Amino acid sequence: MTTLFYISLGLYAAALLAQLAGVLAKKEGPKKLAWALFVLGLLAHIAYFAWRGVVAQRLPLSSQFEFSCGFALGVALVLLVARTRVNADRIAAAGMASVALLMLYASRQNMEIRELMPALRSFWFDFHIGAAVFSYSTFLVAGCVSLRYVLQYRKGESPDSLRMKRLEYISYRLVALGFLLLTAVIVIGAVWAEAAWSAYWTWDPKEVWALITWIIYAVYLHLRLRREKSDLFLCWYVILAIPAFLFTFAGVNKLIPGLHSYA
Amino acid sequence: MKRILSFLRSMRFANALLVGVALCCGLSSLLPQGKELSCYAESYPRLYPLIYRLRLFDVFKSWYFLLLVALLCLSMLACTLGMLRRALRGGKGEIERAAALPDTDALGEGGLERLRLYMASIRCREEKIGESFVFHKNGFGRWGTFLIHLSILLTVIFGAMALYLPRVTDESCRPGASITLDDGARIAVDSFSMYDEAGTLDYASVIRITLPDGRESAPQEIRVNYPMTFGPYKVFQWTYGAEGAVLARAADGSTDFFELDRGSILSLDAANRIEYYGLYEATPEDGAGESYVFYEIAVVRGGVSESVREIRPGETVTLGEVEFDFLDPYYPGLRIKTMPVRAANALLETAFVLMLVGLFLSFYLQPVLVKADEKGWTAAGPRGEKMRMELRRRFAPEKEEQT
Ligand code: HEM
Repeated sequence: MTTLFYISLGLYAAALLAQLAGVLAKKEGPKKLAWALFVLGLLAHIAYFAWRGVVAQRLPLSSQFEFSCGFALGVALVLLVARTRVNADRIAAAGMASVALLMLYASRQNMEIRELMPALRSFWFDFHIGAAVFSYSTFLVAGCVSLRYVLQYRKGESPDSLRMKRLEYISYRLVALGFLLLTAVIVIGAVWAEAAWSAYWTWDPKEVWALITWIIYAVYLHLRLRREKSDLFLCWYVILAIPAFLFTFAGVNKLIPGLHSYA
Repeated sequence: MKRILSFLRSMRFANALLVGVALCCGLSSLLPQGKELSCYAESYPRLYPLIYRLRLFDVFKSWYFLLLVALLCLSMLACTLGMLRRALRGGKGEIERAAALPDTDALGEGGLERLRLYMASIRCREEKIGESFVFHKNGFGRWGTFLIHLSILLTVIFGAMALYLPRVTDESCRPGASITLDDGARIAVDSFSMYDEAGTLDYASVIRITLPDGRESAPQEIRVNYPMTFGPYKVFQWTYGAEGAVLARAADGSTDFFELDRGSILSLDAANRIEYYGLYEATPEDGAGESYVFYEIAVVRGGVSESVREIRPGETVTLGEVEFDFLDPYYPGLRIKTMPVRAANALLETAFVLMLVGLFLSFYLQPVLVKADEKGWTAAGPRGEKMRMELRRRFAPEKEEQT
């Protein structure tokens, strides 16, 4: 069944290449092929994820491999939904690249299916981790949308055009959804921590970095509401915020030891 | 005073404080927190004076971090009160005020009728005031931002109560024994197991709690993530330990319990004794089956030492008229949390729910307030953006291109 994972990775990579070819050659054919390949990759990905869940008898989101694989799945799904709102070539290219890179990162992790350790066997596990996957995914796709905005701006498109306004607005809506989900991740995590470790908050590095990410996006929401900053500034902000949640997701586990180190 | 208040209430100040808190959080990641001071002095001899002065070894207890949090609370209190006032006042006269607003976008021939149909299709209520129509819905959504900020403020207050008021101690206790707390409460451990029926690793203890006034709980199983609460006590399955233990039964029926340390000797008299060498874990030689623990002992009878033996927990060694039962060596480590203000947890969790509700209202139930007349329309209110964009897309001539 691991083959299914690699098939999915291969299809995503092929989709990315086709998309890039379509964009560079300014042809529709390769872009259509890219979406077809991407959807096939997604189907293989879902099948692999479901198989892993059935074998492990739990939501397969506990190890770094499973989380990255789930994260890639989240980005692919959010990208597919975003496509119904904005038919976006360059968002697609950035999104497909993100999915392929996340799958590549996953492929370099330990893929073994392990029994969940007692500390992770909790009612809250699925909600906490599931919300985290979708929160990071929406932030990443928001970054892709913002990148599209910045590229269009550089090409000379007026920031007052309806299309640019919509791009910025969609980026904001994605951040808003991600922020709601990240808030859920943090409060569910706190309730879980109280049941497991007796304290809602222990200033564990993972908690601290989730808080940093939360604050970064709260400041964005405030800045946007004040309307003092240009749309271009806000889009750059969303792009530059990407490393924050990526560090919370992967960097903390690797670089700073803490209670979440088993994740 | 007014100027101070408006500064405290300003979003710019709030953002500066938030950035300050985030920077402190980042700072805390530079060094492992909460270790012995000597560790830092050894590891970073040159930086140590700076680490000590800025309390970089425990950033979250530093004066500057606590000051930031206090200012954030103050700012949050000021802005929450402002939001409450706005939310209470917002509804009143809002529709009349909207009716008087100038148009921002033009409507063509038959545009007003199409707009009315559209607004009806998204379930907006319609009011006619003079020549204008005002469409509105989701008035309740204006409470969103107030709820978000109120709940964050409550989270900090109740969070501090839930975090710093309880007393937490870690104790270990053998099955069959009990722990007595300082206030007289007692926690008895009836049993402890490390695997469930399916053989999966799952630490579980069955415990009973007796309050200082004598009230006793029913026995309850606690597992990792599933603690037991009774009165002001919350007891967690925390760790486990292993230590040899023996129950000695004499012919007259009397019993004695002994905990064994490596090298312990259970002597009956000068010539008869059991020498205890230690507790070990082994896997069956053929590799099949689960690992097991055993006691390594030597029995000395009548001054003659028998060869060293393995004894499994549950087995008995008879020496003279005394039987020595070798007990299951595992015992649970319990974490005991005593909560003087029991409501703090419930209040904090209510604040969490309010926060999620507030965010949902703020993002997904934004108030809609649109004014239209024969000539044009405008979307009013601080959250008019979504409606403005949607109406422009539907009613403006600009063609939607691929985005
Ligand atoms: C941890 C701290 C904070 C967080 C997470 C936070 C979060 C938010 C969010 C999510 C919004 C809604 C944004 C939107 O709808 O796009 C908001 C709005 C707002 N926040 Fe904060 N905030 C925080 C602290 C503060 C503080 C301390 C102040 C004031 C001193 C403040 C003032 C405001 C104001 C005035 C609004 C706009 C309200 C409205 O127009 O309805 N915030 N905040």
